[in-house]
Amino acid sequence: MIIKHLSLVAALSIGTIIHADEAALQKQIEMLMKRIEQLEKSHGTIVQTQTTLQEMQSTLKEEQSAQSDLLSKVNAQSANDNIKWDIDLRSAFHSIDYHYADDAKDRTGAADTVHAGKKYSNDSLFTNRLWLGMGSKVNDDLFFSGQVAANYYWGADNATHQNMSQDMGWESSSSPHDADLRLRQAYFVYKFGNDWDVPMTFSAGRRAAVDGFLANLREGTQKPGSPLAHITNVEVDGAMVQFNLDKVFLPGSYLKVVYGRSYDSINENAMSTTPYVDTTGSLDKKVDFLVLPMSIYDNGASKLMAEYAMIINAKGDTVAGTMPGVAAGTAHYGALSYQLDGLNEDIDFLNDSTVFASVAMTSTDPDSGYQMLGSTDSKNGYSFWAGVLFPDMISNGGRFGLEYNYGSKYWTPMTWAEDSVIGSKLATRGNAYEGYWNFPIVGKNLTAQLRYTYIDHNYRSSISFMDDPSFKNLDHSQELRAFVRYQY
Amino acid sequence: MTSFTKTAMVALLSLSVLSSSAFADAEKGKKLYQKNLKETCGFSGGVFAAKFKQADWDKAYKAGTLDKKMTEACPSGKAYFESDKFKKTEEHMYNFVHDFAKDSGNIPSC
Repeated sequence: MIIKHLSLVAALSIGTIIHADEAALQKQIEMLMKRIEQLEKSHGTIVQTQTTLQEMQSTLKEEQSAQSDLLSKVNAQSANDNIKWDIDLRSAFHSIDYHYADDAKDRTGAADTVHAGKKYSNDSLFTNRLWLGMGSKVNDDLFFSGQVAANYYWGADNATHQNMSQDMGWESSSSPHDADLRLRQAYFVYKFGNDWDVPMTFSAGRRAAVDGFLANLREGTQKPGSPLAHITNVEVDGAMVQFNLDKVFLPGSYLKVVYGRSYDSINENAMSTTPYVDTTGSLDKKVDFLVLPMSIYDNGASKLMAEYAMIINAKGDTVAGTMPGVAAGTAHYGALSYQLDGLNEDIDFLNDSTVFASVAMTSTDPDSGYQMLGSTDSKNGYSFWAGVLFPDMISNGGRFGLEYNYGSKYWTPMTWAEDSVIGSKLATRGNAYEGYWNFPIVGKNLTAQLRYTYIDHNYRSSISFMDDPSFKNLDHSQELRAFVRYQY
Repeated sequence: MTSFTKTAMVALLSLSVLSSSAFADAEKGKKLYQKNLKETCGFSGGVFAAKFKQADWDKAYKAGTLDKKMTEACPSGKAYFESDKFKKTEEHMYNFVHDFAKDSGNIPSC
C-alpha cells in the first residue's frame, strides 16, 4: 500500500515536472520566435539603412562631381586673376574763404591792387574722392600694392578750367579736378634676408609718400604712411631699400633709403625721330630726390621718427627773376616727430587719447646765378607742429582733435599733396589752427568728419621756392569741411 | 556761415547719433600686441596672428575663449591674456588676429 502511494506520488511529481518543462520550453520557443521576428525586423531595417546609405553615397558622389566641375570653372575663371580690390569713397562738403592782406603784393613785389583787402569765398564746394586699392601677393616676401584714384568736384567744368597740378606727377590725385582715374600708387615689395641681423626689403614703383606719420590722425586713418608728413606729402616715383634694425637697434626701428624722380622735362613726343631725348640741350634739368625716413623707436604706444630729405634741382628762379620754375639749386629737409598713444592705461579716457609733437627745418642752397625764396643765399625755415586727440564721449569710438602748427619766414616743406583744399596748412608761414571730429557711423566701414582749419599768414602763402616770402599776399584763409567716407 | 552750410553741418551732426557699432580696429590691436606682447612672445604680430586660421580665431572669440586660443599661440603671454587689461581690449585684438590670420589673404603694405 505504501509502495502504491509512493508510486502515485512519484508519477504525479514526474508529470508535474514534465508539464513544467513543457511550459518553460514553450515560453522559450515563444521568446525565440519573438527574437527571430525582431531580428527579421532589424534585418529589414539594416537593409533599408543600407539602401539609404547607398542612395546617400550616390548623391554625395553626384554632388562631389558637380562641385568638382564648379571648382574647375572657378579655377579657370580665377586663374591669373591675382588682384584683390578694396574701396575708399569719400564725399565731402567744403566752405572756404581767402582774405587778401590790405597791402597784398604779387610775386614780383608790386602792390596787388586788384586783390588787396578783398575776401573771396566759396560757401559750398562738393568733392568726391575714390580710391581703388589693389593688392597682389605671391608669398609673404613678395607682394604688390597699388591704388588708382579719382578726385573731383561736383559739376566740374574741366573744359574751361585747367588744373595744372593734375598733370604733375607729384600731386595728380590729390587736388580735386576731373573724374578721371589716375595712378596714385603702384609698387612691389621684395623682402629678403629674414634670418639676417638686419633683414632688408627692396621696392620700386610709384610709392606713396602721402598720408604720412601724424597726418593720418587728422584724416581719421589709423595706419600712417612712413614718410614724416611734417615735411613730406607728395606722390612720388622711386625705388626704396629698407633696413629693418629691430634686432640690432631699438624696438620697431628701421631705415628707408628712397631715391626717385619728381620731374623730367624731356620731349615725350613719340612721333618725333628721337622721343624722350633732349636734343636741344635747352630743357630744364631733371628733379631728383633722396628721402631717408627712419623709425627710431616704436613699441606700439610711443613712436619716434626722423627724416632727412633732399631735392636736387629744386625749382626757383634766375637772379634776374625772369624764369620762375627753373632748376635753381638744392633743398634740404629734416624733421623729428613723436607720437604717444594712450596717456594712462588705467583711465579709459586717457588710454584712448593721443598726443604728438614735431619739429622740422627746411634749407635752400641756390646754384650760382639762381635764387631760391627770393635770395641767392641759403635760407633756413623752421616749423613746429603739435596736437592732441581725445574721445568725444558722444559716439562709439569717435575722437576730437586739436592741432597747431607754426612756420617761420623761409619755411617751405614739400607737402604739395596734403589733403587740404585751401592748400597745405603745414606749409603755413605763420600760425595754423585746426579742430576736427572723426567719428564712426557704421564701425570703421562708414565714418564721418567735421573739420575746421584757420591759417593766419605772416608771410607769402606759397609752397614753392620761386617766390620771395617777404611779398605777403593772403592775410588769412579758412576751410570748413565735412565728409562721409565708405571703406571696405 | 550760410544757411546752406548750417543745414549741411546739422545733417552731419545728426549722423553721429546713428553711430551704433563699436569702432573695433585691427590697427589698434596690432599696436596693443606690439606694446604688450611682442617682447614676451618673441615674434612679430604678423607671426602671432598667422598661428591660426580665421575660422579658429572666430570660433574662440564667439565661444569666449580667445584668451585660451591666444595662450596657445603664445604660451608665455598667458598672464597678459588672463588679465583685465586684455579683457578690455579683446575686441581690438580679435580684429587684429582675424585680419592677419593664416588664411586671411591680407596683403601688407610697406
